[in-house]
Amino acid sequence: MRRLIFTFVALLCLSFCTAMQVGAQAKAPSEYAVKAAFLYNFTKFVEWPPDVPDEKDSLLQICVIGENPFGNELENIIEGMKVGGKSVTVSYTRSAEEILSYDVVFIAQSEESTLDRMLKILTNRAILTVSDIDDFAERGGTIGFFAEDDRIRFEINVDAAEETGLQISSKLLRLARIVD
Amino acid sequence: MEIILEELTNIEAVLMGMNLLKSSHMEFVSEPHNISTELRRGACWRPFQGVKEYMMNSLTVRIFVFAILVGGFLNGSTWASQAGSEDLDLAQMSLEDLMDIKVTSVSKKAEKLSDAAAAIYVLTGEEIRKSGARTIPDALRMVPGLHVANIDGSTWAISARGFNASFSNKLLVLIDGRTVYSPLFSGVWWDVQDVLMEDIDRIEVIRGPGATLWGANAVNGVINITTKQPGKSQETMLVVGSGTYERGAGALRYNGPVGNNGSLRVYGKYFDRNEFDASSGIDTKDDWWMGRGGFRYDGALSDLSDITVQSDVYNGKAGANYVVPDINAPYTTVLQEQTDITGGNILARFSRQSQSGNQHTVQVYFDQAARKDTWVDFSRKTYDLDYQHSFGVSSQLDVIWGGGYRVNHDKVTSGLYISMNPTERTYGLGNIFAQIDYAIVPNRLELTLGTKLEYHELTDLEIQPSGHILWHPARDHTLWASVSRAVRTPSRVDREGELFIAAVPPLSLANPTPIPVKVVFRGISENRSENLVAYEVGYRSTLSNRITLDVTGFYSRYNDLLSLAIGEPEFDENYPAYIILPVDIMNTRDAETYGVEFAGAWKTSERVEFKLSYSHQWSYAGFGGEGVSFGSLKSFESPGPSNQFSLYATTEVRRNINVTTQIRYVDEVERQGISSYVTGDLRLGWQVLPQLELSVTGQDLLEKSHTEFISEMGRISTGVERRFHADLKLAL
Repeated sequence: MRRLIFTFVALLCLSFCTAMQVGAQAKAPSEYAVKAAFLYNFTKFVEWPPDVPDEKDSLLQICVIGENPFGNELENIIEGMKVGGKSVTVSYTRSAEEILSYDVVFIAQSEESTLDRMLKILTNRAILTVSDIDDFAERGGTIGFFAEDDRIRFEINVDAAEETGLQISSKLLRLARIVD
Repeated sequence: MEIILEELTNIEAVLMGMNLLKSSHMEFVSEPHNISTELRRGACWRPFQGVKEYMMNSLTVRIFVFAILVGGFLNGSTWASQAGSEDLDLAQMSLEDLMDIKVTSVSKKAEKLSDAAAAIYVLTGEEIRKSGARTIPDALRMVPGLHVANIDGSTWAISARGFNASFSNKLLVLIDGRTVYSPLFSGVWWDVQDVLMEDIDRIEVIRGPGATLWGANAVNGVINITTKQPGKSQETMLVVGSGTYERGAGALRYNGPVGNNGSLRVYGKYFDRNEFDASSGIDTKDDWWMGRGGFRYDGALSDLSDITVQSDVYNGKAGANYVVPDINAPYTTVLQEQTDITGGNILARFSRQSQSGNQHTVQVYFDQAARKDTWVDFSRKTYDLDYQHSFGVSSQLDVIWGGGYRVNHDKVTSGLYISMNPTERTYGLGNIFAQIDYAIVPNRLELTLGTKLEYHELTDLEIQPSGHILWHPARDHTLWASVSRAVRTPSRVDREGELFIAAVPPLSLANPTPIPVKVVFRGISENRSENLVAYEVGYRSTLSNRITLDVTGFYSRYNDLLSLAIGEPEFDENYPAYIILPVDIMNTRDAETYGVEFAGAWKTSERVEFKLSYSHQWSYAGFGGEGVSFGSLKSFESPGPSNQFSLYATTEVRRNINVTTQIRYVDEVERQGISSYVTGDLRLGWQVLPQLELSVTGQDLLEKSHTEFISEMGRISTGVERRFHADLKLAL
């Protein structure tokens, strides 16, 4: 009997919670929806060197390498968006050889073990590297996400940015934690 | 009375086992089945009445499942329908606004599971905290294919793929790179394997052999417990709680920076746990308490080199009832034991990474443990040094190699039940290993080959090679297969121990002589390692961002398993006189096991996640070899349940309220007469303020109590009881 009473209480509890949920407030966005929005925003505050030969001048190409953590959040954000007159596109790949033709490369956490090699390939290229791998900026990436108090923050490795030849606006630098 | 009956069946089991020996000298056990089945029933069934009852409660179970599903689906669907309309327009938000958004979960670390050619499963710290698990074994119950069973409040039998026992000797366990497997008894004392639950970063469980990298005794699995790095993601906090089982529990953690490049965590933790279910009438006496404290420092020495220094100390007292043999009438006694438990460790790890991707790691640690009661009294010290180097030769070839040396020193004070000869011993073991990862077709087909050479002062050289192949037939689909060899090195007990295991009364069915028989298990110094060759295949898939599947099949072949052989009876002329019947511990048995393990996860929305696991195994098919296997005895190396099932559901009911439910089904442990059971846990967590969380946890809710396992060492099993706990967590 006590068992039944308990189960009943548990059931009640769950349904109560469920009922409350229906009237609940707007949900907090998922981590990667926010990161996608950050990624898009970064492109507004970075200037690519004009002398880079680029046949697809009208495109700003973002590439995600590794296991795509964004789902379709990135498409949702950039859909129909233009930055500096360029249409933003996104593609996904697993092969490090393909990333050199993009403007922005997001390195997924799945690539942690090959990160150093990948960063080596990217050295001195005008490519903005972004990742949420731990200590990404410390390890030589340009912009690294980290979490603080359930909020997303980013850090910028100024030296790495300089090597790529990208111009990062002071506004972006002001909001970032600087790694040097 | 029940205890004595229980012991009778134990003796019977031992004798029955002996009787299987062709060379048996024991005429008096020619009719072992004559020991009344009535008696056995009395002994086996009465304590487990609660278990039988769950059948009657299948309705309760169904309601519970229903509650989980309804809760999950409703929440999932309501969110799904809201997602479009009420979503914030992130694309239009400024960086400042974005930085102000609180997100639901921030994953700290990725699990690159899809690229592992092994049956690996990862429990994240977040999952563990949401589950309300209060001990590491509690958390391990969520892992597919692991059999986790309480013997009493402070003793667990944990194993993968069979061979379970309270000293389950084929499973290696590491905490932050330090092995906690006892070389003295071949097993893990789970009562002292504890950390601050909030500090757990992840628990990686590899089922199947992992000896090429981890070394001897990683035969049926490796459990790798990692705590978080102090720093960025941690805070100073205080947790206090109380419950029906855990009378009082508290923990305090400080986290802060040290200089420019370092961070430090200091913690202290204490709990006082009650007796488990005493409804069978016996005062279970298995209450226990423990206090522990320690620190971890992580710092950067330069841009490319890091250092970690960490240490823990603990002290506690655990009670238990033992049924022990007695050479005088009535030939068994119940001992009420209070075991003093102390120990500590200190570890330093230095790692250096070069620009070219070379990584060197040097680790050194010292670990000591001691226990004292009338049953066993020992102390052990371990010194360990390891080096590891990994580098990429080309974009297709990665190499990892390393080596290490360990020295164990132990001292066992001979008692009535356990003695060792010599009582004190120092022994070393060294190893070198190398493993290559070769991408035959980059991102498609990958081959891993490696071997470990391990030199054990007592057993000589062991070679533990393995080969794995991994194929991605398509993106997000992984097929893998492996063959590996692993050994379990003999413990000190296996080689030099003497265990007083039973006293057979005179003029009894089993012993018609007028003097009692003292049955003694004796370790033999020629004992070698037990060894295993395992064949595994697996498939892993990410069907979508929300659904993942993982299936593994294994076939394991064991040789030189522990076995028993009856020696020549000896007459002891002491007063009172008795006959000593030595039973030698040998390794002459073979066995096979095979099985399947399944794990699936489904995230119906950002806030709702289900995890399902199922495992099935066919054990000990085609036993071979000579002698009596340990596995054929009632409580040694149990094949474990043939089916296990679990469902984990977690929902963010509101932004700050989490409800997590678990249901577990564990099949009967046939040889022990343990019935199957279904049980469930429920935790409600409410983040009242950013700094304050309140939570209520109910564990093993579906029955008043159930028994899970019988110890091979006379420790009396107690019922795992329904229990509730409330916690308050304050970030300072």
